[in-house]
Amino acid sequence: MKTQFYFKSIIPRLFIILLVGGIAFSTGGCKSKKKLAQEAAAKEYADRVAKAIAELEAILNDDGTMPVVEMERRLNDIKSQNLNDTRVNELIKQVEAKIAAQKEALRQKQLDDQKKQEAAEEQTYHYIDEYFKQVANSKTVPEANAKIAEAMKMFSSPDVPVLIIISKAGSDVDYDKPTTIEKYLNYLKDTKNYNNSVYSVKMDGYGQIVSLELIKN
Amino acid sequence: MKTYKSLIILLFAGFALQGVAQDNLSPERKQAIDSLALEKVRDLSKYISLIGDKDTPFSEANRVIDRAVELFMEGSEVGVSSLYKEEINYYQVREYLERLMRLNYSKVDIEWYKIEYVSDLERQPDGTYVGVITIFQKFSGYDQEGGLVYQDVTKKDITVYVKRKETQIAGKLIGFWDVLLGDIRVKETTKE
Repeated sequence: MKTQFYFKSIIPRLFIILLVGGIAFSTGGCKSKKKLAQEAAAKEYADRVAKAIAELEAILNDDGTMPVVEMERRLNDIKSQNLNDTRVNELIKQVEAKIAAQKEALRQKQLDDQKKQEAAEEQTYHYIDEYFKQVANSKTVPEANAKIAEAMKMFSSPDVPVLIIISKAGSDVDYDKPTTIEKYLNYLKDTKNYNNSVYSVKMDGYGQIVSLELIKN
Repeated sequence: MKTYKSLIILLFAGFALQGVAQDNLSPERKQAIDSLALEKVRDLSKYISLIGDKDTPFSEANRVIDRAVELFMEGSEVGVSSLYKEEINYYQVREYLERLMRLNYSKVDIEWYKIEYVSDLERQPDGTYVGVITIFQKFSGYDQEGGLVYQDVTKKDITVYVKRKETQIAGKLIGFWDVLLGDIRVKETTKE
């Protein structure tokens, strides 16, 4: 009876001790796992930051071999990681400025190239403008007709289309009603007025003009 | 029911916006169209002068008549007045030009001046721009000895229609402004 009572009182105590002990030990294990995970995350973050800094510095130190598109791709990749590191953010700003400068330089170069090409084309087709002016300035009908016959030799047929640009703003191009070279040359003879310039010319394999674009001066 | 109402409202708003977008020509583009219409009237003045000129060869005058007719809308009429008659006669464009070519003078001078808009080009609901250009025409007819037989100055109003059209040229879609002249109405005729 006494022994039975003894067991009855000791078992709950033991159970409580084991429970407390278990909780204590298990919490200790959790704590160390969390710490490990935190350390791993911190290391991973540090690696990512170091990699990002290295990449951003590589872009900044590039001597012009890396295309702007590649720079933008790498920058966007780094920005998408949201590293929120002071040094990384500072380098991102510098890279963004470098990309913007390179884009502006590219745009300027394209504009300059286009202007050079237009000037070259204008010079190339200056002789066509001269023919048109001569037709418009002819004193008599026979003189104008002779000039027209001469000018017609440059074109593949009397029906070659002539387009006249009346206004051009970006992608908005407005034309006058399309005409043909034969009608246009006679128009110059009748009105004695050539107030356009050659804008573009298309030629066939024989060097004859197959389409002509003029622009209002 | 509510959904249907919303859809109908959206549909109407869409059409309205489309209309606004089409009307939204920049001042530069509008000016280019204004100038184009004026240029067509100046071209007509040169054609009329050539057709009336007795020195213009017959074949040339007929070719120029064809070019001049192309400037007009089909069915357009031209008013003819005289200092000696109160009534104004209206002729179809080709008939007017052919009569002009056959006028019974030894020499004819026709000069158009003060060519300007009296009513600016305004967009109509169908997208056509319509305006009125006024001109002053000085007509002088001479006899064989070079003496002035008849002279008058007539103020005329020309209705102009400008519409955006598209056409394919060598596989490329071209958007162009088609300028057509309508009736030429006589406003007043004076001696000078």
